[in-house]
Amino acid sequence: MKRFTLHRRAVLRGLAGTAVSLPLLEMMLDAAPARAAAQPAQRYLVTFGGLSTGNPSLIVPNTVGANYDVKRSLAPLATLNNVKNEVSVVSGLRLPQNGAGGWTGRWHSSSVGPLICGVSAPGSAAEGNPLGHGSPIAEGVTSDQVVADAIAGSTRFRSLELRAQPEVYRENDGTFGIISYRRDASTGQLQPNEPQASPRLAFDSMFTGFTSGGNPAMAAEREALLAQDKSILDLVRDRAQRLIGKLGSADRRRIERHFDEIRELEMRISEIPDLGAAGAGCMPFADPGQDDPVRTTQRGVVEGSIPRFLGYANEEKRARVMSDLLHMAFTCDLTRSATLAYTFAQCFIDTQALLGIQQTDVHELGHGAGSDEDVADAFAWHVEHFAYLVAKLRDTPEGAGSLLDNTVLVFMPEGGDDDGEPHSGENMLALIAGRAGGLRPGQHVATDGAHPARVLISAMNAAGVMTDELGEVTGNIPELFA
Amino acid sequence: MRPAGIVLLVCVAACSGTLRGTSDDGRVVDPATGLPGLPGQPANVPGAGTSGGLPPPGGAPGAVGVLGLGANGITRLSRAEYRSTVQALLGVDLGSDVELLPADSFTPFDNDYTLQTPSKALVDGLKALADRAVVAALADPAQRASLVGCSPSGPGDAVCLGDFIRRFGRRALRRPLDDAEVQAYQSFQSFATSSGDFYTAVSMVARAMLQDLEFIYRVELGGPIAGLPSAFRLNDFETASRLSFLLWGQNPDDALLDQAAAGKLRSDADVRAAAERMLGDERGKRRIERFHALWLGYDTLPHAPELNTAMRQETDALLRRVVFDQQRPWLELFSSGETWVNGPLAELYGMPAPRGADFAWVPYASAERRGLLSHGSLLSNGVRGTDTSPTRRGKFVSERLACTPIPPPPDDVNADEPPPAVSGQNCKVDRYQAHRVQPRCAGCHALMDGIGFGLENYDARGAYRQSDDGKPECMIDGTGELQGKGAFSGPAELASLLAGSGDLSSCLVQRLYQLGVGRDALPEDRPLLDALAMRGGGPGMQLRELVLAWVSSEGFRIRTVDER
Repeated sequence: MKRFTLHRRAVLRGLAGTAVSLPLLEMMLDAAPARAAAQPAQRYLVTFGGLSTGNPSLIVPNTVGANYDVKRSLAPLATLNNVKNEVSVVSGLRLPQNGAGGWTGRWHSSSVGPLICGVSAPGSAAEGNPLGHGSPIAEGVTSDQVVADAIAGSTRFRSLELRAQPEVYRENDGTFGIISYRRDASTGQLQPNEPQASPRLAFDSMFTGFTSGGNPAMAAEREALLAQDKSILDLVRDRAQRLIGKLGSADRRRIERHFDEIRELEMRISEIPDLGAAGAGCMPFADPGQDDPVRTTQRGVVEGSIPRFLGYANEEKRARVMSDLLHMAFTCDLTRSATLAYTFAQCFIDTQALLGIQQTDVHELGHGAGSDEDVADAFAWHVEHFAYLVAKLRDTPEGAGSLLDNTVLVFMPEGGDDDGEPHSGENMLALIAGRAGGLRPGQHVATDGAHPARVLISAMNAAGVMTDELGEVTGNIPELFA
Repeated sequence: MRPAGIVLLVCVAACSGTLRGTSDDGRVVDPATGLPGLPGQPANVPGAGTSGGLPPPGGAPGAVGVLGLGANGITRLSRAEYRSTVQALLGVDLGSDVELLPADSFTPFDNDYTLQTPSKALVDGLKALADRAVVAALADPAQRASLVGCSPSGPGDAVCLGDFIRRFGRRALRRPLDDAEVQAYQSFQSFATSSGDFYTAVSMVARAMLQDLEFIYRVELGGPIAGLPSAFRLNDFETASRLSFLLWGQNPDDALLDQAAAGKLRSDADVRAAAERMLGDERGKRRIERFHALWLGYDTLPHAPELNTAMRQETDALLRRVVFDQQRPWLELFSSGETWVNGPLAELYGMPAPRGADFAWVPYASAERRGLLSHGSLLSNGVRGTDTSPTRRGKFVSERLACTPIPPPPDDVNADEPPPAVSGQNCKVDRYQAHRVQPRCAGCHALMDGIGFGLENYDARGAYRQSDDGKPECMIDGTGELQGKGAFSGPAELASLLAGSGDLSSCLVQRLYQLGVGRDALPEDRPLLDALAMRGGGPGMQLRELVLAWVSSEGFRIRTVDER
């Protein structure tokens, strides 16, 4: 019987984005206030990798249940003091053709939308699909935003969107690197949440104004700059407000979010919380320095491969920094819901730079430019970063246990495998880690064609959001809970 | 102008039965007009053009400026526009730091407002860039002096600060500030006096302006037009911005702002004169180069850097010659009998190397090569790995160059995979048989492969070859067909067929329009495009004249709002 906590302010969000309050249950009245006071915040993270699962024999554990065997693609789970005990593997997932939360074509990255929001991707023949097939754009609110609405509380960042790979490198566009969509409260418009792909800016945004030692002169200078920034933003916001008042409704709809974001930035600058009060582990860490530059190579040496441009911007370091930032954001309760796209959908990262193998891109590996083992290693690169963060959360004390006890994290790769064909809706797989809300990690759950979004529903439940649906998909995966 | 819809119907009959085409970025196309959009969707864009020019005052509402801009939405500066504008305002080249702004989508242009959404990442990026640019601008004393324009007597010099606010503000916000606005910025003076440094206030003014919504967005409020409730007449400064972002891809310069201030951008003749200066300026020429490079997909090239640079120079040189120096009809870009090459390019094309100077005009020896379609820049498109794909080449020519969309493949087809090798036959033409033989593939592929095979004698860098790469036994036939127009062999004949059909000219108009309005052309824009083509000179149009005719029209100074 799954156990989950009911937070007093948990609400359900219907598809239209309107809040539906939970019925006031006894559970919420008597015991809840006391429990809520003692109950630490839950944290929620969805990560994404722009590649397919590859040959099942190199990724799906043979064992079902606890103590699963770790294959090549998941090899990093066997490291870090056997972090696999904190991670469950969910296999046999499927994106249906023409079903709830499905897609009508197996065309490239149109799996992304249904994966993250449970709403079908419009196919090429569908009405109202101005971008035709192949678009990764989600047609509904993503789980991280549902969770943010429910549990953000008064955290500094209602949600955080980060991405390690900074540029798309080859074809496609920025939409291939967006995995978070919200619904605007006043207009009802579905909007993408562009992630921050600069570690420099992500760091600054998170730790602006925090002083942690340093000499008094530096602190004074920081104070002075902050005061300037505040005054500047005040003026910018004031002018923005006047301008928006003059705009017609269509123009206003297009840019009023900009005003909202300015106001939020101004609020963040004005109210610098005391980091020390958040707990022992909370402290700004070493400045990551300037972002590594984007390097694109213009070669495709592998026979039959497609690449025009391969890119690398030290995603290895970028992913590490973003993971550290998320760890600290959770530790300091700066946010409770986040997404981290390690790579763009249809990832064109240079495999020689990333993995030290022949020079092609990650996408092409799946199309025969690399061996099955190469594909597994590209997959493992993502898992390594996921495992790193899981281990860090596990090793961070919180309350009587660890931060991981109050966190749920998911890793969603873009595609599955159909007898060697990538970009498939078959044989999809996801990882779910953490012990929030009664999760019992460390298992291999072999589903029989469950929709991947059910892993997200499970994760949402674990974070305390009582819902049985995400988009058109219903039901969590009960085996994931104790 | 022959509508693209006719070709589409032929294809529909033979293709998978979908009634949709796609424009070259994969969007749905209305078969009736060949333009992106959904048929049957009511034209909810107020003021869409009907026929003729503006109605007389008091005339029928809703019929506005056919030769104008059509409905548009508020547009954010692209990374490239932001970078050029900051360079002009502060003398600072941000370089790759502009990547701190969220990425633009290329459609193929970078300024599509329908794909822009504000975000935290945008606001954080704007702040970081404002800080960096202003710090850099004020770091050099000479640069700082020229930026500020007056020597302060001390941190409290309100006159100097006020002058800076007005002068820089007019440039940055692209209009004069009123007294109340100047006062608001003047409040930063207190930071100068308390820090003892006048330039603290200067820095704050500049940083505030670079984060202002009127800086990062192109705001067009305009004024009402009697009898036309859905339209607005742009004010002089908004006209200046519309001109400079279209013709230069950046903010208006002081001369243009002065013209706006003097009321010299109100008549067709005045605007035409201003536009002529702008097109004659180096910024205008680079803009036309960039327009073609983005449109025709060679803004980035996949070869060795020196070859990429040389190919770009070759094509830019032809553009400048035909469009600016000689002011010949735009179609002559496709029939030019000589090309601007250096040694390596000449060798690639199998032409005699230029004597002496690095680059020179060298006539084509082969009758198969003429004009742009023979350039490495264009022939580099439609490759698969290091070799050409006739399908991709044909798709490129049809969709990019001729604005004739090809419907997508059926949902269950994996177009990533190359056609399978037929046993015993290893030549490319044999492998592509699969496209011809299968009924559900044949219709659409005839449109694409037909073109591509006619260019197969030209490899992925544009060099001539007799046989498949690495397979001397596979002789290339080199003939192809532009469906509905005729057979051809090589780029010169293909160019001639395309030019003769009118597709190239009409695509030019459509792409230019797309660049100006900041979105795909919609079915309701069709009358406007037709009028634009006619006013621009028909098929024999010169690009300069087309642009000048368009921007100097009264409709160009009118705004209707995209309510979608």
